[in-house]
Amino acid sequence: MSSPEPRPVAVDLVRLLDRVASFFPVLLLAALAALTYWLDRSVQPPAPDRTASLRHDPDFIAEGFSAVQLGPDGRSRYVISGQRLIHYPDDDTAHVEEPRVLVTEPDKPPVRISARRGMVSADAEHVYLMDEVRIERSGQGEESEAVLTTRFLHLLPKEELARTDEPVTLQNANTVIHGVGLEFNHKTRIVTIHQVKGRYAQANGR
Amino acid sequence: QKPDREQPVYLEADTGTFDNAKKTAVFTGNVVLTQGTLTIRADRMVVTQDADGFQHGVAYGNPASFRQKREGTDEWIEGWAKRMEYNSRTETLELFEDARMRRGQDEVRGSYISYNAQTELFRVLGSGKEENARGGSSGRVRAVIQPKNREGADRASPSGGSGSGRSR
Repeated sequence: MSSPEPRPVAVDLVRLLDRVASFFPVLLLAALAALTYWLDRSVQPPAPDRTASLRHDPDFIAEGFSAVQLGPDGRSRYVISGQRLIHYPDDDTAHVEEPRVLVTEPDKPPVRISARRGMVSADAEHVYLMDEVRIERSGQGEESEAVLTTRFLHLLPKEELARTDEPVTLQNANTVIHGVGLEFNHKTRIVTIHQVKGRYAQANGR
Repeated sequence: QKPDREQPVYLEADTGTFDNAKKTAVFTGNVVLTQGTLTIRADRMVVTQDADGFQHGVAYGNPASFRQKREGTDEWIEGWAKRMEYNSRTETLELFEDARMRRGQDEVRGSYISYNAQTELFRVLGSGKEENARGGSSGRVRAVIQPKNREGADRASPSGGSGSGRSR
């Protein structure tokens, strides 16, 4: 009699999603908060004779920028870069073209984040990544590389939340998960995916 | 046709919640898990992994169901229960509450059925509550075993209490 051994895939999804927990390292969220702080510091307050109607004009543009934050050990903890960054004082928002974030935490595989566009709200309360959003976590040991892709990702650094209502795909060597809508809570390390479709193929047969 | 165990596993559900701290995954809403010929349908499925990596899955439904073709035969095994628990360490599938299992023409009902994939032994327990004799779930084991010309096929004992059957 054959074994009705369902070997539910879910536990391997749990393992994959363990990786998702590391997709959103606290550092990343801190990095984004720092971005706005760094902007504020480097932008002079608008001259007092500004006309009454504060138009949505940029006051600061950086081309090909890159900001590196070092850890206490002097090693780079994260690098935020982009092709172009435009800061608007009226709503204190920063728009970034081709944002890239590289997060390197000690003895953890690096995490790379990229998107076509990004927007950081006042004091990085909200960070939006748009178009070809991709979070990649390199493999380490027998854990293969894991990639999350979506069209839109909303990060809330202070609340340590990341969410999207768009289609999202999480993938590693032998598991693919599609969903429409995802919410990740970094504090509770709980990931919720809606309309989830998982495919798990054991890498080595058995 | 590769055995089910070596087939990719597909799982769909309205929602999947993965708790990395507790290492559990909870799937809710139209949960369908397929692997080769095996299909499990449930309203809710909770999967946990113990320290040394053994998986324990619990499927809830009204009823939850499972269906699988026996390897190398074209005979199907089907099972229904309000709660089905699978433990990959012991390779045992346990059906609780209105448990029913059918293999080919044979069908067994009880309040609890456990089926061990390795030994191919299954145990059926009645709920022990005597209820009216006129039908209704009388809490006894009811087994319908079709006469077969296969020699040596043991019969599940239809008497009350526990019955166990071996199949080859």
